[in-house]
Amino acid sequence: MKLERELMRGAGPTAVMQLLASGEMYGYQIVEALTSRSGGVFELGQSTLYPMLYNLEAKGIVTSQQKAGPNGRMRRYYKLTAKGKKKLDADRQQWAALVEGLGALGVTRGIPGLAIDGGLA
Amino acid sequence: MSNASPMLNPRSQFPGFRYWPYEQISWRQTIAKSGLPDDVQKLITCVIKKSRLMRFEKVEVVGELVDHFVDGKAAGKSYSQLIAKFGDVTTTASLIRNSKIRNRPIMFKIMQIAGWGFFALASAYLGLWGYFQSGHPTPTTDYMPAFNQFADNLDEDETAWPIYRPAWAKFGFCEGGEFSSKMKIFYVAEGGVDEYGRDNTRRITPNDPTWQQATAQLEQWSELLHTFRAAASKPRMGLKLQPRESNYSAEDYAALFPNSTETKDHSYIETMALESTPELANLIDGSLVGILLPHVQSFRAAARLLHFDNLHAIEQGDSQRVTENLIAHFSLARHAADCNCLVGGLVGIAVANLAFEEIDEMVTINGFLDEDQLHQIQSAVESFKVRDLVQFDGERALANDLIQRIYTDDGNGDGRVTPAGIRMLESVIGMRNEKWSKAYPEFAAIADAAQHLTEPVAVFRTPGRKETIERYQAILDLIEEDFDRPAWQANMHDFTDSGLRGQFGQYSPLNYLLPANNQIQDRMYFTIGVQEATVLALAAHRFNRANDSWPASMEQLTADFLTEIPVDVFSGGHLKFVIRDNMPIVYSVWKDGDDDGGAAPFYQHQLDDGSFQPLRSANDHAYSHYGKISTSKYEGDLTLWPMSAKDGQISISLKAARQSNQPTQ
Repeated sequence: MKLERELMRGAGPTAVMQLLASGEMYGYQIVEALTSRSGGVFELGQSTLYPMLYNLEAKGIVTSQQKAGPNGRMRRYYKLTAKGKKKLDADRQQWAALVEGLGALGVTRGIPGLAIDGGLA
Repeated sequence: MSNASPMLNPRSQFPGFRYWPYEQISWRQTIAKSGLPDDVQKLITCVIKKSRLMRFEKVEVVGELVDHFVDGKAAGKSYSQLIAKFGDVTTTASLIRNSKIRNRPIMFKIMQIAGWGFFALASAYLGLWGYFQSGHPTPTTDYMPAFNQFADNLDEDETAWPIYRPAWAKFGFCEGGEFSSKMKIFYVAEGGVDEYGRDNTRRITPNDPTWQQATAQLEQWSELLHTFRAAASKPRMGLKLQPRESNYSAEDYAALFPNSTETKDHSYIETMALESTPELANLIDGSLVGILLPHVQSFRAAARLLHFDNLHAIEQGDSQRVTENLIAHFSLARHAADCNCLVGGLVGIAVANLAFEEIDEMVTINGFLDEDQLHQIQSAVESFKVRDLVQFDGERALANDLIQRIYTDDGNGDGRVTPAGIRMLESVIGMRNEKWSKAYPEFAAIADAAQHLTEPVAVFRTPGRKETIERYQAILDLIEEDFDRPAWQANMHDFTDSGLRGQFGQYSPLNYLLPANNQIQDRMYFTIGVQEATVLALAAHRFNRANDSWPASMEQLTADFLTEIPVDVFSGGHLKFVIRDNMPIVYSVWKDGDDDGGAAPFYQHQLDDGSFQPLRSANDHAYSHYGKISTSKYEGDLTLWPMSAKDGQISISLKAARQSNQPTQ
C-alpha cells in the first residue's frame, strides 16, 4: 500500500530521519531501505526523496558529504545532525500520540504489524 | 567522478567550500560521461534544465541523480523500472529547485540579493544616464540687448569713450603688451620677490635716477594723459560691449584690442567655441560669458599714470594739472564701473581708493594746492557716489543667459541641467580643478572619468531651471537691498559660503554665478568711509589754511567748509577726528561703537607681555573683517584718514589714546 501525498509529506521526513538515525546513507540506499523496511509503504521516487533531503538539509536536520563508498565510487552521503536527532525524538513522540489517538478512535484497530512506540521496526 | 581523497577535498572539510568549482563544472559532461542510457540521460537533462538552478547546484544534483540510477542498476533494477519510479519531470524539477533554493548558504543569498540590488541600481542608473544624455539646452533669448541697456540712449556729449578711443588706439593703451613694457620704467626694483614670484618694486619718485626717463615717457604720452582729464566731465563711458570681438566696430576693436594676436574673427572665446563639439560651440558662441572687458583694468593703469603725472606736475609747479588729475580719478572710477559688471565696480572702487590716497599725498604738500583747488577737489569727492559703482543688472542678464545654455527648456520656464551645459561650465567658468589636472595628469584623467560617470546625479541634485533663476534673482535682490544699507544696518550674509555649494550640488550654476558679495560690500563700505573722511579732512585742511589753526569741533567746519557733518557708514553716528602731530586723524568708532580716541583696532586679547594683539595696521584692510568680527572680541577705532599713515604714526596704544586725546565731536 502506498501513502497518499499529504500523508507522505508529513510522515516521509520522519521516516527518512529514522533511517538515518542508524547511520549515514546515500540516496538510493535510502529509497531501498524505506521501501523494504516499510513493506512498500514508503516507496519514494527521486522526485520526492531528493527534494525532501535538500529540505531537511536546509533546515539543518541532515547534513551531506561527498565521499567514496565501499566500492570506491563517490557518492553523497546523508547523516542526521544533533538537531535532527532532537527533531526525530520529538516526531516519534508525536507520531506515537497520533497512532494512539487514532487507535483509541478505532481508526487503526485491527491493522496488523502496527507498533505504537517502535515506529518503523 | 573524482577519486580525490576527502582530506584534500575542500568541499568535504569546509561547508563554505561546498560549491567550490574545483572539478567538473559542466553538468552536461557529467551526464554524458555517466554511461547511462540515452533515455535516462534525457530524463536527467530535462529535470536539470527545468530546475533552472545555478550552475554549481546543477552539477551537484546531476551527480546525485546519476548516482541514483547507477546504484539502482547495480541493485538489480532495470533502467525502465527506475525511470518509472522517478516521478513527474516537471514536479521533480520544481521540488528540487525549491528545496535547493532553500538550501543555499546565507552568504550566497546575501550576495544574490546584493547582485539583484546592484543590477536594479545599475539599470536605474542607466535609465537615468539616458535621461540625462537626452537633455539639450536650446537658448532662444538674446540677452545682449538687456545687458547693454545701461548704454542705451546716451548722448555722445555725455560719454567718454569717443574721447578715450582714438588715443587708446594710437598708444595701444589697452591689454598690456608694449604699453605695459613701457610702464615698467615707473617702478623701481627693491630686490627680492613677492609671494607670486614677481620682483618687489615700488613706485618711482623724483629722487630716483631713472626719473628723467620716466618724465620723458610721460611727455610722450601727454596726449593720452590729456584724454583722462578731458573725459572727466563725461558722466558715462558709452561703450556697448559685445560677446564676440568680431562684433565690435573697427574703431572700437582697434582701441580695445590693440595688441591682440588673434585674428579679428577668432577671439579667445570664439576659438574655444571652434575647438569644441558643435553643440558646445553653439552654446559658447555669443554667450554673455564671452564678453571681454579689456578696458576695465586699463582704468587702474590710467590712475597710476595720473599719479606719476602728478609728481611730474609738482616738479613743474603745475597745481592746476594736479587738481584736474585728482578730479579725473573719479571719472576714471565711474567709467571703469560703467560696464554693467561687478568686476567693473570693483575696479572702480579700487581706482577711487587710489584717488583718496593721491589726495592724501597731495594735500600734505603744504601750500601747493590753493583754497579754490582744494574746494574743487572736495566737491568732486563729495559728489562721487561709491554705491553707484556697484550694479547688478548685468549680472542678472549674464546669469539668465548662462542658465539658458545649461538647462533644457520645457516651455514653461523650467528644465533640467544638461551634459552640454556642464561642459560649458567646465569650458567657460573653469569648473574643473585644473590644479589637479596640471599637477597629476594621470589622476586628473581618473577624476574626470569619475566626474562624468556621476554627472547624471546632477539631474536630481541640481535645482531645476526655474528654481535656479528664482533663487538667483531672490538672492541678488537680498544682496542689492543689503548694499543699499549702511554697514551698521547691513546683514552681510555670505551667499558664497561652502554650505550653499553643498546645498545646490556640484553642478549648480548658482555656485559660480553668485558674487562674492561680502568682499565687495566690505570694500564698498571702506571706500565710502574713506570718502567721507576725505571730505572731512579736506574741510579741516581748508579751515587750517584760512585760520592758521585746526578746528576744535566739526561745528566750526560746517559754517564755511562742510555742507554737513559726514555720517559714519560703520556706526551710523558722525565720523570723529583728532589732531595729532599737526595732522587731522579721521576715524570711525567702528563696530563696537566705542570711541577709543582714534586708536587702531585691537583684539581684546592680551599677549604675555601685557600688550594687546593688534588686529591689523591702522589703515590696512581692517575693513575686511567688518562683517565677521564679533563686537565682544574687538576694540579700537578704524582710522580712515590719512590713508598713507603708517601704523607707528597714528596707532598709539589704546590706553595712551584714551588718556591723551579728547575726541572731537
